[in-house]
Amino acid sequence: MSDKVEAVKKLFTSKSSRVETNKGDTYYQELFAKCEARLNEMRSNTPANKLDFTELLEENGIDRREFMKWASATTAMLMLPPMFTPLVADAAVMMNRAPVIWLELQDCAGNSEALLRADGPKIDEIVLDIISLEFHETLQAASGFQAEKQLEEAMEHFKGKYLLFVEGSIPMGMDGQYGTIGAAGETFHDHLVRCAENAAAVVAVGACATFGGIPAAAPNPTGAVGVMDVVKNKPLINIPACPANPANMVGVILHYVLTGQVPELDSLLRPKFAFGYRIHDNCERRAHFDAGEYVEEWGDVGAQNNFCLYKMGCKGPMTFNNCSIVRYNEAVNWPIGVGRGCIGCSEPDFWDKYAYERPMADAKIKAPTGGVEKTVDEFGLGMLTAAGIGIAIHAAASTVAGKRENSGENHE
Amino acid sequence: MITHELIERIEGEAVLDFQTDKSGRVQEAAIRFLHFRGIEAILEGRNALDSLVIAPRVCGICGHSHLIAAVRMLESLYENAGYPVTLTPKAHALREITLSCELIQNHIKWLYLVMLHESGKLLGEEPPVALKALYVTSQVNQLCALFSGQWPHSSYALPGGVTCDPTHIEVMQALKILSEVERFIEDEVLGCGTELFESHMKNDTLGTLKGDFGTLLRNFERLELLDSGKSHGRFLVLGNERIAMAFDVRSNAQPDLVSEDASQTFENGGKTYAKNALYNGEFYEGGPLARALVQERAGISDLYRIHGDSAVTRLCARVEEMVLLCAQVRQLLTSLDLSQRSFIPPASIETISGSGIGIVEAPRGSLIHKARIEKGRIMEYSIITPTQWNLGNGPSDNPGTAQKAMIGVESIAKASLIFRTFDVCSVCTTH
Repeated sequence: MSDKVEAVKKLFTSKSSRVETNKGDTYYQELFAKCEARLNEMRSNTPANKLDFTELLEENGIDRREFMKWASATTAMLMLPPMFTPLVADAAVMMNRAPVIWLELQDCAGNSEALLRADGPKIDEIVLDIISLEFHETLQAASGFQAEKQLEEAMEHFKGKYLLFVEGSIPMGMDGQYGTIGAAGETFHDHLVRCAENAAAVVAVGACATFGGIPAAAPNPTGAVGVMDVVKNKPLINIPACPANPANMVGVILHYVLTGQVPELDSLLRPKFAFGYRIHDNCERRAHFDAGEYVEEWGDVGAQNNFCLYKMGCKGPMTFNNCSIVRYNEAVNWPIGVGRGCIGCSEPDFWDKYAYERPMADAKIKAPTGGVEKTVDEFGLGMLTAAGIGIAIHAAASTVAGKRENSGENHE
Repeated sequence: MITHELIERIEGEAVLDFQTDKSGRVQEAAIRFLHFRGIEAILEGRNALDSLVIAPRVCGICGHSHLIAAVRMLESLYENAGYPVTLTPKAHALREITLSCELIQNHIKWLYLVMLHESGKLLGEEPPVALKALYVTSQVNQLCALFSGQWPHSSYALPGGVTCDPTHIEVMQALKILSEVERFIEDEVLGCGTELFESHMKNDTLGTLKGDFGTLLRNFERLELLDSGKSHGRFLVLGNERIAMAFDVRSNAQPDLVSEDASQTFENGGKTYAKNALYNGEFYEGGPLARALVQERAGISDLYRIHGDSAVTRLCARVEEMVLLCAQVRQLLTSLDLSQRSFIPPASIETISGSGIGIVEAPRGSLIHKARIEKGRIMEYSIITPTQWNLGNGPSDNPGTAQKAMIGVESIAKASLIFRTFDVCSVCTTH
């Protein structure tokens, strides 16, 4: 047991858990050169579809200035210095050179729905047209047997090159029979393993695909697990949250097009550009927290004045995600904007430990050294109990090991 | 001959097993759902308020309906335990607005991403680009998120009201978005004003509509499917009004007469995870057509008299509901009294024991959440979803609503299209 605690401590206080927004000129110059080379290489690849991004923008009445504004915001989101803006713009234009295959397993379709509502200057177009979504069971033209065939063809044609996005958890109970797909009744587990085999990287999207989500909540009737418990020896990126923010999905693809690598990840395999800081750090109600002004009861004067929701069980202080900046539905709002606390949906086990208005003190979540004003590293430690983390350590460690072994184009 | 057909797109996966005669005409059709998550079991033993976080996640497509069903269940629990919950008209209106948004965007998506697409494909035509529909649905979801925080999966409703306290700015933003949505429906969907649309329904001249809905109807006409898809002619609405209609006779519907039938499920040797939902022991149809008919809305009732519950009536009911809901949202937004309270705290949930039922008219029909709570803890939780009504899988001598509608259709491909007129959703069906 003490070994485990030590392992957890090591994991969360390791250098990899820190966010460095400035890595020095030399680092960025090298990266810049690397990205330029990568983009030149991409430029010579044949695009997977004939769509022209620039033309599409014009057709939709989006001018260059507006597009560059988007590119500059996206560059900042990816935690890159402004000099990368032209490269990000170039990468967006070439997103049809990064084939994406999307699987839906034990899910509620919420992440697909969120993706459909991706924001930006009509990023709907970028996501659905420019990104070469080679296979998405629910969004594509083909269905049924035709779809199965299309999947096989896409996997063969883009062997070793496609990003595999996975939505939903994997039921392991009853030999995987709680979820089967296609006419042959292939289990979700086998389907995932097969599709992941020749992927360049696997991206788990949403709470279910990353940490098991609601289906894995106690008593976990179907034995649901996340992708990282199934897929080994493959670069793996987790984009948790329920639903995952489409901005972060687009960010990962863009990063891949730009650099040919998976973005820098934290110990739970989440991209640091999105999960490097807490909801609490950028919350619009933060000033009220600092001033000690809290909502004490739903609907009270504090609630009417947008006071801090910490006492109503807001999990913002221990939840790592960028919703307080990116927000939802084209940035019109987010849960805290309507007076609801954060439920910590991008953290492992949120459904059991973080649910609803249970204040943090009652939620078996304790910061190891007390208080909520702790650093990223210290927080990670307290957030997770040994049971939850056991899986995560194992998976994180094995995936990292796999990443080293698999010296394809995605090594760091 | 037996053929297995997979049905996908937007709503998860279902499998249809068709039995056809020599000419390929459908004799029997069985509907199977092959996914399961066990959400009812996950809810049991938890704090009753946790249902407000977990219930929306039953479905990423109608999560808001699940939220409202859960909150109504809790409010009915309070009521039954002798602690009635008061909701201000403002809180009530805000819930209605966000719920309507979910219905409107669902209907638009169904029209463009499923029906126009699939009917075009069957005619061998290039499926139309649906980007404009995606854009407008994202607008509707913005409108919803102004009050609910996000879509999908918001949890802004609580027993006693809602947590948001909108200002005039949000209301103005919402009205602006609504105007754009209304314009989209008139310009793109209908190709005419809503009054003209009414008269087209009345005069049975919908085929001349210039908008995309006209294209859909003409696709169905070319496929000779306009008058196909007749089912039992039994309709049920359990949400706001509670009315059942069988063989054109209307009666007050009793939630007590609702039952779940697990005879076709794996646990009883069947082949699906979905249970059938029955009213008074029989399959009833829910959804926009049922709602329009039991409310005796003019246009759809006129169409029903001419065409019965065939494809044309069913398709039109969903489109007509978009128009109606926009008008209702406008009315609610313009009459909001922002000075009212959003939330009036009820007694602590830990003091409450008893049973509650919450029913919502979700995009595809009546959604029911039932629970038994002891001192604020969930002892039993039961969910009946709309698709369980419409896509119930009965034996050949007593087919479910969609099964019946597919029988006699001349080919499997056409029967699958008829199946989609019910707006399939497998995600929450098996929950």
